[in-house]
Amino acid sequence: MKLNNNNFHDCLMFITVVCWLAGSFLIGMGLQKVFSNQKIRKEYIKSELEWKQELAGGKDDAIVRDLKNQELIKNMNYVSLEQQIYFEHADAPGEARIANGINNSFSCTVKLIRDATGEVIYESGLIEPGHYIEKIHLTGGLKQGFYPCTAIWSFYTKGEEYAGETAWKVVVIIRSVDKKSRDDS
Amino acid sequence: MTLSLSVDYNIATKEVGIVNRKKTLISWLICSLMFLFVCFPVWADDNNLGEGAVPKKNGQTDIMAGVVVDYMGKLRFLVLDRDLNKPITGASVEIFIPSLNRYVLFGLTDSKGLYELDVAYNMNSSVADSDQFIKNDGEDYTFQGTLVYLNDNNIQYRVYKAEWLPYPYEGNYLVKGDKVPETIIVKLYQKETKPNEPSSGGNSSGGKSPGVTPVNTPPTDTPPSLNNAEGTGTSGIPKTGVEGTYPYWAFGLVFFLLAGGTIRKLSKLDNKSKEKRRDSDDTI
Repeated sequence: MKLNNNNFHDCLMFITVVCWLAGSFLIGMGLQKVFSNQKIRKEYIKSELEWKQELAGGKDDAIVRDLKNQELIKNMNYVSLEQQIYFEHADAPGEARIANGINNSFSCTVKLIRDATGEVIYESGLIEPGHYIEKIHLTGGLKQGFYPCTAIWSFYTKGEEYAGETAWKVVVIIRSVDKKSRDDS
Repeated sequence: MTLSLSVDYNIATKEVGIVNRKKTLISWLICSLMFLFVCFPVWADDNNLGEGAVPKKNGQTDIMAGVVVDYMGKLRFLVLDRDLNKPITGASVEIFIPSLNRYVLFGLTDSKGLYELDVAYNMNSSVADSDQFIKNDGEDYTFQGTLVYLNDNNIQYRVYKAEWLPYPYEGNYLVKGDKVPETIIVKLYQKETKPNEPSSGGNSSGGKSPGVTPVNTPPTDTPPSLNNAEGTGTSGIPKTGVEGTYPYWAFGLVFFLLAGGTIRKLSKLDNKSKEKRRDSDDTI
């Protein structure tokens, strides 16, 4: 009987400890959420982006989304890229003429993604306003052919804060078989 | 006799000391565990959930050199007010990019409610692979302007603007190539008006095309994300500091109440056993 009582006592002790720990963990999770919410709000308030400040100010998400899209499309007027990029062969440079206009307030990066496979065939570094990249080299060793690609423009503020992305469609054209095969033949 | 009594007393005090030390140790252990369990989620970094473009091999093919491009022309989005039939300016047009598995912003409609882009697609012409290569004729390639690679000639899009419904309007459209430009007419309505079924039409059938099964199904019924490229999937930011914390605190409270209940039960048991001991001491 005493043994049973002791067992029951121990069992209750165990349940108490487990409940305490579970409760503590959940309270901790709640606290973590509070800290993370505060952190996000602070980041948005301090942001260089107008739409983030508006969002932190309590403006409606949909209106802010429109504001953001307008800002991004405005940026697109300042950037340029050849929509057909020709390469003599996969290893040769191609004239892409990627440019970020001096009047743009954002820096940008460009990523060329092959539509068929999702493979990134080119990724630029940060292009500041007033700078351009004349020629690019592809990765991936493409064969002769047309390759429909999506050019993803990602925009960043002066403080290198991510502002958003837009897309263009481009075609990468490899005119001839790669140099090695040509040499072999 | 006195010696044996003092020895017994010493042993008893030692045992009590050991028990007390054990209790302190266990309490300290539980307290530190509680502290760790509270702090662990706070310390945990939740900002490392980045995701990039994952290369996909989904059976799609590139257009090889010299392949005949059957159609090349403008694809036009015309966004209208369903009730007044007037153009809607500044509606965002996003197209689903299967390789990225997400919608990407392409442009906004102008004052005429139009957004245009060039498309090219393959009409599944029965050209053998061996015949698909034409002579290299220098600069004379078929492609001009912006180009959308269409997955089975099916374009999946969404159009939205604040205060207009549906938000977002999602649809897919099968490019037929029978008219140039092909126009997708999207009709939106404002919140005040009766929310009837949104319609689309014109010289094309916008909206969900019957019989068209997209290879890569985009996520549906999800509002456009403000941070889509970051991979956070969040829409907007928390409006208050305690947003989303209540479920954790509610469950935490339940567990603490359970712990409190078991402690109460334990103390009752302890009291009972103490009373029993006292009774037995009294009888002795």
